[in-house]
Order: sequence, then structure tokens, then C-alpha cells
Amino acid sequence: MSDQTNPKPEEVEEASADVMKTVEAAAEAVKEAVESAVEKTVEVVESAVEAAEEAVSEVVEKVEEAVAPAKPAPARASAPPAAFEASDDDDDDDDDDDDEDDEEEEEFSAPAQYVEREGSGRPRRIGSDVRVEDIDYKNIALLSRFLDRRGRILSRRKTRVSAKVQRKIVREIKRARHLALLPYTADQTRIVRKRK
Amino acid sequence: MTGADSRQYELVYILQPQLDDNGVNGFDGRLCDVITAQGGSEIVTEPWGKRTLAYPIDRNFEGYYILHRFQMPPAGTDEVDRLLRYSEDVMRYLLMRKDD
Repeated sequence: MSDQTNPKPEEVEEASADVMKTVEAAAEAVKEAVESAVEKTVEVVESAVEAAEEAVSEVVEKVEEAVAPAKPAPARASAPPAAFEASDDDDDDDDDDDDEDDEEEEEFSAPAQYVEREGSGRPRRIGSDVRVEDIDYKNIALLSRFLDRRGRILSRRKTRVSAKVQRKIVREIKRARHLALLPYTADQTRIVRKRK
Repeated sequence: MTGADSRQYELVYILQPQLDDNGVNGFDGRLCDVITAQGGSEIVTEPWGKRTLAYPIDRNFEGYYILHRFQMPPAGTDEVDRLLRYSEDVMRYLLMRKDD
């Protein structure tokens, strides 16, 4: 472009610098756009998946309830969404880490704490083995079983524990949240994990 | 003072991760002094150490957790509460009765 109009070398330089700047800016903008688009898509997909899972689990639950009198052990398809992976059941939570390495895995396996089964019997509910004196804001392993993957407290319809126990659990979960032992929402955990 | 009118309390608080051991112990000492001054006794300390928070607090991702159990007359809670509330190093705290 320089040999056509014979501009001064400085001008050429300036112009080319300008062009470079523009190109760089454009590249940056494109990159940013792509990144944000990807992020948005991921979020949308995630929430869609979650909604779908929830719907499925609700339907399954209803079906299960309807079928229950006839068939005591319905199909294994009754696996609701993989919730907070309470992974280890060790009641000692005073050790570091843990409780952050939960949920967010996208696979549909591991509904263990939801449908723990004894032999071929009916699915055991999450709260069936909870002892009242174990419910404590320090017992993260136990409390996280009562959260869904978003970090929300499960309803009594899902947990099937007594009103008294549920009240206690809710209170202790809220205490644990205040002390940052449990997240208020799942994306808080995502932020923490992203940083690592 | 620690007779029938004193209650069992449990206290957990989170200190800023930037503190060094001296800072942590220093604050802990001050707190224990206040508890004792308010008629508290049988102070049990359970340091959990540095833990990762479940969510960032004031852009901190970690914190020192310390737990105390002690006997104290109920009137002393105000003072303990005040110390914890007005200390910049304390990110969160939870003081509650444990004897019901």
C-alpha cells in the first residue's frame, strides 16, 4: 500500500500501527465474545439439564408412589439426579478440604445416597438412618446429603424425615452456611473451584 | 459465678487467612481473657486450622476456624459478642447455647 501513493515512511508506519491495533482489538473482541457465548451456553445447558433431571425425578417419584402398592420394588430407573456427593460417610468433618469436592459432575450415576437399597427391597430414603444427636452444623457429610446439587435444602417430601428432624436439619444447614462450611448456592462453589 | 446461673456455650469463629500464627493465637488469647473476665470457665479450644471456605468472604477463600466450648453466665455474651463483632480479623462467628 505504500508504493501506490508514496506516503512518507512515518505515515506508513503510523498507518500500519493503527491497522495492527485495530486487528488486535478485533481479535480481542472476538475472543471475548466467544468466551462469553460459551459460558452462557454452558450455563443454559446446565440449568436445562438440571430442570430436566428434576422433572424426571418428580415424575418417577409419582409413578413410584402410584405403583408402590402393586409392586413393592419398582424399576431401577428411579434414580433421581445425582445430588451433592456426600461421598464418604465419615462423621468427622473437622478435617480440612472435603465438602467442596461435591456436585457438579454431569454424569447420571451415583445416586447412592438417594436410593440406597438393601438387597432388592424398596429404596431407602436419604434420612432413614439419621440420628437426631448427629445433626450438627459441624457434620458436613451428613448435612450435605440433604442438599441438592444446587445447594438447596431438600424438601421433606424428598427427604421423608420427621418434621422434628427436618427442622433440626434445616437449622443446622443454615448455621453451617453462615460459617461457610456449606454453600448458599452452587455457583459459589463454582467460583471457589475455578480459583483453584 | 459459675454456679447454677452459668450456661454451656459453643463458639466458632473464622479469622482472616492473612494472619500468622502469632495473630491467631493473639486474638484467641484476647478472646479467652474476655470470656474469663465475664465469669467463663472450662474453656475448651478446638482449632480446626486453615480451611477452604464454601464461598468467598471478603475475597478470601480460606480462613482459620477455631471452636470454643465454655461455661459462662448469660450476661457475659454481650461482651464476647462485641469483641467478635468489632474485630476486623473475624470474618464470621457463631455463638450459641449448647445446654438445651
